[in-house]
Amino acid sequence: MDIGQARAILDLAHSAFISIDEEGLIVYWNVRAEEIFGLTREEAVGRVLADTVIPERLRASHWEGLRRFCETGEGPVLNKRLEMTALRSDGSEFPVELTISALSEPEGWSFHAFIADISERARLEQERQLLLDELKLALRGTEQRLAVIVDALGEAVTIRGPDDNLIHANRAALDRMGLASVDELRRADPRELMEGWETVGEDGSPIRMEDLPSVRALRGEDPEPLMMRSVHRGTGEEQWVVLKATAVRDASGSIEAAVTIIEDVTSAKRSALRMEFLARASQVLASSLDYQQTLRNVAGLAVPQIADWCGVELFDDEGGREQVGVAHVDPSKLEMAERLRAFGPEELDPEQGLGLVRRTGEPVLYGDIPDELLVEAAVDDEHLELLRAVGMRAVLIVPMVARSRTIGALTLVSAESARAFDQSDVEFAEQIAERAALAVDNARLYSERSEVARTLQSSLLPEALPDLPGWEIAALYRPAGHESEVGGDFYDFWEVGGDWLMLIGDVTGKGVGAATVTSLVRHTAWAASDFDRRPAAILSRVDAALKRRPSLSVCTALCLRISEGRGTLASGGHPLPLHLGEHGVNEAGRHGTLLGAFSSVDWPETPFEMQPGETLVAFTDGVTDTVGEGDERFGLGRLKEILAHTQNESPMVIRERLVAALEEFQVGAQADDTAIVIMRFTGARTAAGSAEKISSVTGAKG
Amino acid sequence: VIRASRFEIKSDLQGDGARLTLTGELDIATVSRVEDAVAAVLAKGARGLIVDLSRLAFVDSSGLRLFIALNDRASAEGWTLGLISPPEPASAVFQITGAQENLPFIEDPSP
Repeated sequence: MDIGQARAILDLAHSAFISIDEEGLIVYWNVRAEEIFGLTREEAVGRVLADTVIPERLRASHWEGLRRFCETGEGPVLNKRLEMTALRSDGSEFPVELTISALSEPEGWSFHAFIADISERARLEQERQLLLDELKLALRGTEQRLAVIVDALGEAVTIRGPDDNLIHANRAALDRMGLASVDELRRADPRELMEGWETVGEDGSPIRMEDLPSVRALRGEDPEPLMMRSVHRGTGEEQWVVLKATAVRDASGSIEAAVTIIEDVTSAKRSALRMEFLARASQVLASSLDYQQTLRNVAGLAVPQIADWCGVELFDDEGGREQVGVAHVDPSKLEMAERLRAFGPEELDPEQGLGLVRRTGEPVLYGDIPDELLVEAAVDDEHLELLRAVGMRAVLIVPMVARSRTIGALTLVSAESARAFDQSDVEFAEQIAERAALAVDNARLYSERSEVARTLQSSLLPEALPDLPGWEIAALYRPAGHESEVGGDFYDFWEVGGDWLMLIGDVTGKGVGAATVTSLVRHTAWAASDFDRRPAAILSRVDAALKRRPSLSVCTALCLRISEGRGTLASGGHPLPLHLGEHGVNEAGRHGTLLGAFSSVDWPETPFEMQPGETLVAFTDGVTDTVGEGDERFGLGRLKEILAHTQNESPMVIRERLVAALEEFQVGAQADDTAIVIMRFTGARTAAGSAEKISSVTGAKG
Repeated sequence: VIRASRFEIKSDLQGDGARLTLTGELDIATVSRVEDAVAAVLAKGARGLIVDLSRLAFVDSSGLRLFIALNDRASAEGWTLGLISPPEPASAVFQITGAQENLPFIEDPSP
């Protein structure tokens, strides 16, 4: 940029800009300088600066400074903001602020100054000084003295006298209270004045006059700042304020007044509350897939900070609706909501309220609910009475939209808090509703799966344990911790030709796929038993059926054929049952091949005979694989040990002992299904026979 | 919440031979990591895979199912699978199901 361009720019500057050379002669003078000093550029350039803009009494120091800089390079006034008095061409003086810099150029040093006329600023300062002087003059009598001081403050300030009456408020405070003058304030009863607002603390508890910091200060306490929410009963305007009070003492030290500074923190507090609410709501929404419960929880979070009432309604596809949650900070009021619900119309009016929100998918805000509206809406006198009792001031209904469908609505009602809703409330409520809708949508998808799962699961277990002559039976089924998935464990009893068959198994894998396999296994086993009741034959048929499936379907199964106290058993890769008898706790039977997995198979059958009072316990690996502290597994050893201490106990008791032991051992969620079948032979009808006594594979006592 | 089992996989690939050494507990929580590791070495061209189970402390039925599936897949796709048996009691699931005889358990070629 050349000098010409630079000067063109400098002519646009708001400050005057003046350059001088080493001799103190003016070499540049911009447009603003012309205005401030009243000299044109042509007149100024070439003149001695000191004689032009510096009052005569200050010129010597200017020359001294210039000389010293050129000799020593020391320029204590350079590059900093200075305030000085300058001289106009008409001889008048005025205050300026300036910054001087020095530049080394081929022909020598040059000096440049930006100069601003600060006459206006100086005038204001002078006025402030005058005000202070007036204040000092006014310092006569406490009240007056205080009043004068607080009126000069921008924040709302009130002064309360020893009798708790407000004796002064500055303009900001009067505006807050809706009062025209201090006289009006003094005439008012302080309690009545406070009654104009619904005031509650941060925790929602009402603030009484005795709680106000100013009143406490008057009592000689040293009150903490108080944050409170005040809602004007007339306008519904909500404000959050922090009250800080200090006592004012007279010369003798006795309290003569309390000064309260009222800080309006509404926007900060609202946004903090909303962030907090959203964070908590998001957490609640993500925490559970039981969406009805979740929505109730979200409704609960909304009161009382966001609204006095919060209701959540879900719509179905047939035009019906269901209120899934309604919350109020006072539980006794919930009964009122319950009664109101009974008056809800069968069909929603698509032109108003919920019906309108449902039809349009847009929020609806009723900022004012006049009594006529209630009269119009009420179906009978009782209804009207209820509606009036709720005392609705404002109602805000926002849609819950998921995947472009309005699946429900969130209704926020302002009642006893008397606060009005504004646009920011609408936007905020929409945010909540959006999150809630998403949670419901997710939960519904999940819930449908879960429903399928429950149906399947119940179809996979016998409805009731059979009444086997001479046997007492207890069974336990504990599905793994993931609700939506059908477990792979199953057990079943059925009778064929006077014999009883028991099948317990574990299909590897989870969910609907595993349920299908379970179903196949059971049906195949039932069908197979019509032809051949031997356990090995049944397992063989199941194995073949599983292998015909297109995808890998494997299953462990233990099959018992029981005829009074005797029987045979075979295992298809399933843990062997434990026999509780006079020789302790021992595994019964021999291992056989997993079903559906391998080409080379073997299912050895083992006969058994039970003595009266002896028990067989069949289980799935969910029992032994249960994880405890330090990743330790429950294991067969522990199972045997527990059973060893249950000799002569009934199957019910054994089951309870096992459940207790498993629950005590288990750490974290249950990872796998657990099924246990406990069968005790009572010996009611023991047939004589030649079957071997139960054989033991490990022979180990637990 | 299924707890995180202590489980590690070491994967070595030399030429077209891969060896996965599993340490810790192989169960429903960790099976998918083995599936991923197998997929990774196969994608890099492994034609022979040894899965070393000798450092496993526990194998559950989902671990067993994984090896049955891998064995079926190796036959179908024409690559070879070798399993190095875990110690007791982790080997129990293989013993009680007949898997010990039906899955390709091998002696460790590089002990």
